[in-house]
Amino acid sequence: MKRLGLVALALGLGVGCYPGDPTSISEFDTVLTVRNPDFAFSEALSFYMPDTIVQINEDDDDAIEIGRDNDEEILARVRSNLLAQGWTELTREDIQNGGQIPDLAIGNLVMATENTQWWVSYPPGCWDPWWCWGWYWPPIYGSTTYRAGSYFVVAASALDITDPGNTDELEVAWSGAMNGVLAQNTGSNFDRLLDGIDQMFEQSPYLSGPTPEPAN
Amino acid sequence: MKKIAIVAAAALVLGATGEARAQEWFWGGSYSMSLPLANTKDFNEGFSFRGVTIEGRKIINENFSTGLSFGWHVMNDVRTGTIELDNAAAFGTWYTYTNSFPLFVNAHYYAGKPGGIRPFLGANVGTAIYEQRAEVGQVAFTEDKWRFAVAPEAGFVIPLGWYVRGFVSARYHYMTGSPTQQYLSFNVGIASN
Repeated sequence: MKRLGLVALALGLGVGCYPGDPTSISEFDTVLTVRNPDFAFSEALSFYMPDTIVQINEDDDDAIEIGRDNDEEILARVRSNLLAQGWTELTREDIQNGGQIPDLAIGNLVMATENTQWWVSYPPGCWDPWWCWGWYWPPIYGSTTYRAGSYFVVAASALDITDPGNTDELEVAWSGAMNGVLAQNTGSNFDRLLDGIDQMFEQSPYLSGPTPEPAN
Repeated sequence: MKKIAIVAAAALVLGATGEARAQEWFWGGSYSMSLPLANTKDFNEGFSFRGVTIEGRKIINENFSTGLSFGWHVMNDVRTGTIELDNAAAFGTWYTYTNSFPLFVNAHYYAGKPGGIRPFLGANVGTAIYEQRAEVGQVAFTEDKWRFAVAPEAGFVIPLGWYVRGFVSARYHYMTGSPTQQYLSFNVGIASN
């Protein structure tokens, strides 16, 4: 009859609250896009994109320095996606000497942090799995550290572009953000970022077409 | 959660080794599988093989019993895709988990004669702790609610020995709240007095 108890015990232990947790670092990646419902994307737009990726948390305590070797390729991927929408790129010369004003200015921003969480554990004191008398003292201390990064592409009104500083608030038409956990393998981080940039545009089909009716 | 299993095991062992009494109790445990329906299915689709139910039934007469039932049913799902929000869209790998802990009082009617295979119908009424959790990226959302719950049931009792019965049953779980939650649980178990 004790077998009944053992069966129930095995069943209970086998249930588990949260089975099937992530097994790959890429499963932590998320891509979020937000659009301004009042902005008309119905016509092909012109844009200007500075050739710099700005790290917005550079001075923070938890900031980590990021490599710049892949900046050109990252910006090229953003550019190719914008051009694929049917948009036209204006250069600095077009603006300064040609007197043209782009519909939108594209900002590329990055944030990278290192997060450390300390923990304390009181492991059970046991001779074997069936004979335990309490907990070990002193407890064991440790820390868990992970690195996380976010990449932002922001499309904002460029009316102020010839007179910077004249307007405090820029009207953002669209923004995309990719968030993920940074791996030691920088090649993996780079590939996942490029996939994330493509995903930002894939889930924003309105960028190249009529503005959908705002949701009620 | 280990406490639940220990309580379950204790209940089974005590029930299994106890002497038969005038007002006979049968104690049992079952392996429970779940099929989410309606809103529950929207949150986590697919058949779940994770669950356990512990029961005690007091035999009133040849055809009726009343009793208690406690279950722990886990459903989970993984989906990679985009969720559309108002003026926004979010892409990621979404892990969703449901932990349902129904606690019922119940009554059962048994057809047929003692000693044979006996079909039964049952009514379970009570409450359930219902937890839903969604994880995407480095963010998790959790909601716990107590819900009023009912679960009509049908099944068979199969004699396996003098003091041991096997049983199979299906329960339709309905939980009130906004939104309501519904799923079927399929139970295969043994009981002893």
